[in-house]
Amino acid sequence: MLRGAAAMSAVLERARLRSPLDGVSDDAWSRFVDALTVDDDSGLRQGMPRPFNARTHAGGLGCFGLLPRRLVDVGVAKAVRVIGGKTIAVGLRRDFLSPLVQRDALVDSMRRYDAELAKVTLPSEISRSGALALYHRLGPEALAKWQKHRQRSTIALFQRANGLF
Amino acid sequence: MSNDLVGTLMDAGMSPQDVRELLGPAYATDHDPGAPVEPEVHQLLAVDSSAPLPKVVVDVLEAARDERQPPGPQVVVPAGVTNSLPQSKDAKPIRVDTEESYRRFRNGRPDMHALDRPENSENVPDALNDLAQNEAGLVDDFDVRGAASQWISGLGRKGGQCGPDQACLLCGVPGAASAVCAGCARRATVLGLFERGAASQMYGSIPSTRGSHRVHALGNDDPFYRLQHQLEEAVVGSDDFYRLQYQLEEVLGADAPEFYRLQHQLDESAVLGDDDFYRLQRTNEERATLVGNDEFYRMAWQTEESAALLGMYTLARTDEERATMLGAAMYSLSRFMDEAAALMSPSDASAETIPLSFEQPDAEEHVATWKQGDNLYASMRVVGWDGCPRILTTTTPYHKEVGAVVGYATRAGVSPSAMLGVLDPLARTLGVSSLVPRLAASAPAVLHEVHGKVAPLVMATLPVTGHRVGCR
Repeated sequence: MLRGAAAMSAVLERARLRSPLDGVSDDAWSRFVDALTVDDDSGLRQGMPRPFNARTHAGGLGCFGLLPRRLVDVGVAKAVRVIGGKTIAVGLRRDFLSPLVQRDALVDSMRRYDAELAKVTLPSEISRSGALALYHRLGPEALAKWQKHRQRSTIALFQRANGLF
Repeated sequence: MSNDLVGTLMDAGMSPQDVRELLGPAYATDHDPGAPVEPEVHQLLAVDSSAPLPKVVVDVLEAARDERQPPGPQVVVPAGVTNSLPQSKDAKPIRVDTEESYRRFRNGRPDMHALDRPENSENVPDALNDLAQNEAGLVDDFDVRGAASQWISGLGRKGGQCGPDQACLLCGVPGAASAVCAGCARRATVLGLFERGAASQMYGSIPSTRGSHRVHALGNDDPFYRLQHQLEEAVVGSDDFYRLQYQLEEVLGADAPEFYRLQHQLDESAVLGDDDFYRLQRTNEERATLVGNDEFYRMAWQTEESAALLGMYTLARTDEERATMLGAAMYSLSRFMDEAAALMSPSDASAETIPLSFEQPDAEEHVATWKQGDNLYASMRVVGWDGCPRILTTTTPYHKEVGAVVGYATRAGVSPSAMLGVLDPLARTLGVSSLVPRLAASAPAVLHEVHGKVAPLVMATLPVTGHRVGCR
């Protein structure tokens, strides 16, 4: 077994974000993840990656802006509550702010959305990555909402993510 | 952390309303479920973005950002047992090439001990030589400039060499104006003195629990093995086999025990109940000094880290300032207790080795680093007052190190995907590499203070600030 610098070198050289989806390269997955992290809300951080303690205007939490209802689906939150017209997550995992927990939640969410994608026929202008980005931003009914939901931030996300894989 | 603080305040008799008024609505969310309070997630992760940025972190993150790593096999962090330090009859004393060490010492690091030694003494070269040996082998190489720096050696940095500014002896951050930077001088090190790496391993050696803990126990938990191991070590001879202690003393000079002062020994009952397994030591007095001003007893939370906060609390002019000061002081206390509990509480979580690089090939015979549960551990084998082996162990929360790397990556502008790729191995290595110098620096004073006492003991040490150790 390697020890010391050799072991560390071996780990770091192989350390990268690994794709959880079949047929998607690690490089494409990394660019897709980066696309999800860009803050499209109007603010000082617009166009920059969100911090891991971010909350988006749409109610998404974390660096990837995971929606509260999706957090419930993947088991990170217990329930959602609507207060003042906003949906917030209740019973959020105490370690949710850990980047590794958020990464795992995103991977779980994308795996489930990708399984649903296999059951639908995507329009020609929407790639697999674009559809996943729309699911991520708009929820399970994303493809239906996308026909009439044209918010600037959603369009920007779609344009970044579409065509990556 | 927030709920720990809320619980502490409520245990002290404060009502939920008072807690909410004192700390703000975010802290009372879980304790007052009826209140429709939106969770303040940003309160729960402490990212110290103001901390100095180790160069090795910058280099690693820049490399991760600039270079897209080619596809390769899946990352597998070496898993297994580590807490039982490697045993070998052929283990040799820790030595380095004295000429090379001397040159590196003279060229790479200002002589922080020069003021303590007569310049015209005939022993100066030898003294510096000794210092060079120990600094290079025991402290300088296995901190943050160690394993990770080897990986980025192609970027122009060589392990063991320091820049024009002196690096902190404990954290390795360059630019320190003294041997220990201001941050490390304020931070107490909580450590335990055990026969094994930590209390969890001792619990694992109990025969009645071996059935359920055998898989997860660290090392060989057979009592016969332990006895044999101690006998073997005794036969080999303490002069050669256990020279580490004396070399550690040389690291810090002849007055090494005074470099670190023993703060206090925790009472077992404070964490695990009234068990004579641990010693009762001045618990009541230490608790009293939390609110009093008795300077006789020095506690971890009575250091600059929290005493200053409490002092500022009395000077705070507004409720908001007082709440901030109190919260910070309580956090210091909570961190101290968490680390002590991590050392003393039994755990059946599996351990994963975290390899570090050592300039001296035999150093790894005396040092072990691993991740177990939510904590990172580092152990160092030393000679006890009775000549028997003792294991010094300290710990740090894993999430704290993750937060530090996230802070570094954020400041360096690293993309989230690149940062996530190296986050786990970097947090592990940086975390344990910061623990080992603290162990080495506090070992002489601890061994001096625990003379005549039976392990296990849990205590805290703090660097002494003086003419040799100053703050920026």
